Amino acid sequence: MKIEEALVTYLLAQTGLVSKVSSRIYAMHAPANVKFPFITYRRISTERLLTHDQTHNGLSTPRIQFDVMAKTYQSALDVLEQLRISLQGYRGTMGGTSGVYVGAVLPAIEQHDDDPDNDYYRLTIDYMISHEE
Amino acid sequence: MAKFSAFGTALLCNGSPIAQISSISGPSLSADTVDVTTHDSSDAWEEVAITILRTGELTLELVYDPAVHSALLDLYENKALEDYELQFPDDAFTAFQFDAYITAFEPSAPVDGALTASMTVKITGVPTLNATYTP
Repeated sequence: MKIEEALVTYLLAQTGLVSKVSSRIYAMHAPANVKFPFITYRRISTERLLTHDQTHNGLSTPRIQFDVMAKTYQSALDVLEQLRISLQGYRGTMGGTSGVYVGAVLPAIEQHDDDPDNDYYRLTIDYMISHEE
Repeated sequence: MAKFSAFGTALLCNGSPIAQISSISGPSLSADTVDVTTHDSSDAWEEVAITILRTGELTLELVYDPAVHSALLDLYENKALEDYELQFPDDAFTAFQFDAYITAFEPSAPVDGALTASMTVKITGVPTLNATYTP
């Protein structure tokens, strides 16, 4: 199972987050006419720890960027807080018993922005997710 | 003259590769010298004679797995002199062979990084610097 797949499975099992965005968590971009609020995510970069006996397995740390889109700033903050509660400091298996073991989820940058022309708020946060692959 | 990637360099202890090495430095071979400059040295240029050939140390950076690397700590605690072989990934399969002690082991655990360790191996006696190995 790939980390993105495991991550979405994990997030959709977090009741606090699902109460805010239902199942509206999308890779890269949301579908047209999507209901607010929603979350998109994308992989920004991937750091892999290299050793002289490197195989296809190893420790990988992708930087996953989440964009929270909402019609009000308060709603965006609420979703971001649920995302933080779900992810920050997490350690365990994501995606069920055959999922991906995650050693650490640590926050990186956080940025708040709005788009008055399109009347929504956009909160961005990156997480560094160290996992075995 | 060929050029080689360092990837695949290995350090074996008693014939077994040490796992998850991310970097190897050394051995830091060096020769001690003694000044033998005299009043009649040509144009007053310094002259030296070599005395002791220092075997130096190897420093390894490991992606530390406590279960896998516990055997190395056993060697450290037992002050064990063991056979080591540093295998280079060149097409001649060059190796350095030597006896050595583990003289330092330092884990590192940064909050935003991997669990790693730095290990130092001190060579004693005459090393073989032109050995070969069978890959």
